[in-house]
Amino acid sequence: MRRIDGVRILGELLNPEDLVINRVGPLSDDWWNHRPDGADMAFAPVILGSITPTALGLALALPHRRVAAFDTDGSILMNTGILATLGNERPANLTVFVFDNEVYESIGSPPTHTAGNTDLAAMAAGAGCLNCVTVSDEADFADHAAAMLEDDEMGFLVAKIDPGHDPWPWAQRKETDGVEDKYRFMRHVERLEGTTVHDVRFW
Amino acid sequence: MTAAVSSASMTRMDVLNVLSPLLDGNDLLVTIPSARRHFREITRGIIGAEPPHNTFAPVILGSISSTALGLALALPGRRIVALDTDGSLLMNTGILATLGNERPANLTVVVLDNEVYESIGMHPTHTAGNTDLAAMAAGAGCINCSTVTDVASLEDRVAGALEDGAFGLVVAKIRPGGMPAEWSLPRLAGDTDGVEDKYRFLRHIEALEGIITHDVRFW
Repeated sequence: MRRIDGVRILGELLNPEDLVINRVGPLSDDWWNHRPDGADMAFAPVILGSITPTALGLALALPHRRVAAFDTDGSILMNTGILATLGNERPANLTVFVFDNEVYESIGSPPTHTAGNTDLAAMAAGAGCLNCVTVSDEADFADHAAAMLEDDEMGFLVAKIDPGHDPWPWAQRKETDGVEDKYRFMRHVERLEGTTVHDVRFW
Repeated sequence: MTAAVSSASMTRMDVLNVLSPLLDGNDLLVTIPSARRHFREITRGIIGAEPPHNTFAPVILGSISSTALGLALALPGRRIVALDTDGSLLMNTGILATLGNERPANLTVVVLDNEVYESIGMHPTHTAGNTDLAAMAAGAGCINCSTVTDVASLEDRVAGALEDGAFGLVVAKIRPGGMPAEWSLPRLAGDTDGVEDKYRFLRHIEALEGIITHDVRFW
């Protein structure tokens, strides 16, 4: 299974009323091209290990809203402690998708621990997380992703993917930088929730 | 988060009493400062005797199993024991994946799991809830992971783990209390501080291994 297949499936399963915490880099370009209705529903923190924690915070703050984390093996392994926090909070509105390519691809593809003996779904289950599953093909990914997004329980889906990806043509790469993304995402949340998060008149 | 109500009957002292006779002067132990202090009382019989040179206590939460792993890989011919805690492992759960891929045959990790951050006021840790450290470790790739709640099982598992020539991780569920924090203990003649402990541990390893690790003449 390729990462782009997973992202395309998630683009079909999610809608603009959902919130996505994403990884920076090529995965952000994948989502930019597959996000429903071009919505500003995704934010990508630049810090390795902070994807699922950011999604957990959103899920707890907005318990009525569906939140998805697009995480990676390298990022989860940078901050495995989040699994124990997830396992004790178990937010019903959060689904974590882990794209596990077993390498640190962006720095030259040294293997991660999942290339060896480490099973992230088993670790998450041990940490107390619910509905922890590993899949390695597109059909299983689509089935489990659809079920986890609809079941009103937390879910943790590890997708074993092939390393490597085809870069998007220049014209199809994400046009915004992280700072603009932050503002667009925040205003999107404000519109969805009918709240004010960042009112500069308070300054 | 539910309040911590540990059903365990063992104390930390029970774990130390089990561990102490199973180790000998050729082994190296890495643990928390308070356990090191009490280990000294057990191994020497009286308070005030010399601290054990074979025991090192890094003061940084999350660094016990990591330090022991480094020792085990550097000294594959020597038995290394980490006496870690739930709070410390939860501070650095990433070490489980490294352990699970290295699996040093000469390393045994024993985890004192009291389900609270006792020294800062008994806040529950995640093991008071849904987190099972032995299951997490097994998921991370560690072998011979088990959880014990009584002294007989602990003795059996730890003795087995020390003798089996394979990596092992034993989580000992203990009840909080029974051991004052190291900083609250009275200062005694013969006490050492962490910096001196480092040198003593280092020189002890040099003597055991017949090697030089810290020769200031190189400076």
